[in-house]
Amino acid sequence: MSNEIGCHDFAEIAPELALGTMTGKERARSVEHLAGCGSCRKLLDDLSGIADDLLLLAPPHEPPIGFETRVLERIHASRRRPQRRLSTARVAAALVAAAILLVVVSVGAVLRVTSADRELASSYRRTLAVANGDYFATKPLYGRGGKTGGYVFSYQGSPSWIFVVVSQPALSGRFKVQLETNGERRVALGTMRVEHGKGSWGSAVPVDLHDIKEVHLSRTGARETLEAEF
Amino acid sequence: MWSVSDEALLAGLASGDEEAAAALVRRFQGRIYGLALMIVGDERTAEDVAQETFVKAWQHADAYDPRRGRVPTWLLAIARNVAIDALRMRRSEPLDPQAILALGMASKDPGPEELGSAALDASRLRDALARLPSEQQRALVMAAFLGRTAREISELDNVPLGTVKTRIRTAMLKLRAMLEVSHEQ
Repeated sequence: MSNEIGCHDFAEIAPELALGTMTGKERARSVEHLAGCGSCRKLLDDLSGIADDLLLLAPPHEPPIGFETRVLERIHASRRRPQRRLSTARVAAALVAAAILLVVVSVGAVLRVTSADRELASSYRRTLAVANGDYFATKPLYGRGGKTGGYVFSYQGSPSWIFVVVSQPALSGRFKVQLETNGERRVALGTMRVEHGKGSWGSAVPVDLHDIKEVHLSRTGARETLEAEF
Repeated sequence: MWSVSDEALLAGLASGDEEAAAALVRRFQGRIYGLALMIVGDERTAEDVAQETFVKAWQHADAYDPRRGRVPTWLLAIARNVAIDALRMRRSEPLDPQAILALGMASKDPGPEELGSAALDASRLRDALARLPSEQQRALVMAAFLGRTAREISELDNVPLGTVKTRIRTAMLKLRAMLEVSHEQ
């Protein structure tokens, strides 16, 4: 059975896509169609705007006294930790596009690399609802000295999956990928190769994302490790 | 600071401007906390959610893209996802969809000084939502505010999956059509 969908099929699923309530498999099929259809991208943009604006209907409510102070204190506390943010939005867009590629490849489709990829990633981010949402999250990978050595993308769905992107100069070798649950159970996921500081790898995970405490990459036969806290 | 645009405040938050950060929090804390409270139903969790929302906004402020949406809806989308996450983590029960709908329909429209152009959109959307059949309203609220998939709504309400999908699709397309007409008038 072909995984391709047409405009009619896309119109059927666009509302759920805009609301962010689609399964990973359905989303992957729709993403491929969006890459080549401007009218469907317009439809999705309109519906995503409505989904966003629905949230405006929630009545405002004054938070408890001292809320502003507590929020600013939390932000200050976060700022005092080592700077671990993305250096540029362009890097974030490229990494999100890589995660999209994994979703599509995992259902047997091929994502055509077109000049609309960045626009597609932007539309996809919107429908996934920005910034580490419930269904899609990114966590930095820290190596030696607390330096960022890559990112772990994760998706809560059916199945749930993670996609690891490593970018650390001079790093090479085979790395065992494991996750540690909140119950301190270690689950081996597989092995990935890093060459000349670059590597990427993905896998479905057998646990709920909320049960993941950490993801570890450890180099076979050496003490090199990268870790991402969830 | 109240004459400063939302985008400028967000940029200030990203760059470490403490005055901009405080102004952004003051400007949107009511909306963020209100949405969180509507979804999670208890004040303590709602405050955690609202705090986490502003922290995430700070963490990702430099990745904000105005083409994706306005600052208020960007913040509210973060709050919604944090709230849904909190519900799942704590295995809490959200507010009943009918109660959420009632709160949303009864809410006063925000003034332009609060949400700018979003104020008019909220008013039009409320009017359009009121014209939908109740079963479509319910399905839409469960998806939009509680992040329920069509399958989850089908199981919770004991309604066939295809029927739920049709309700969500029809509701969203009707809203789109009604809002296009009201924009043209």
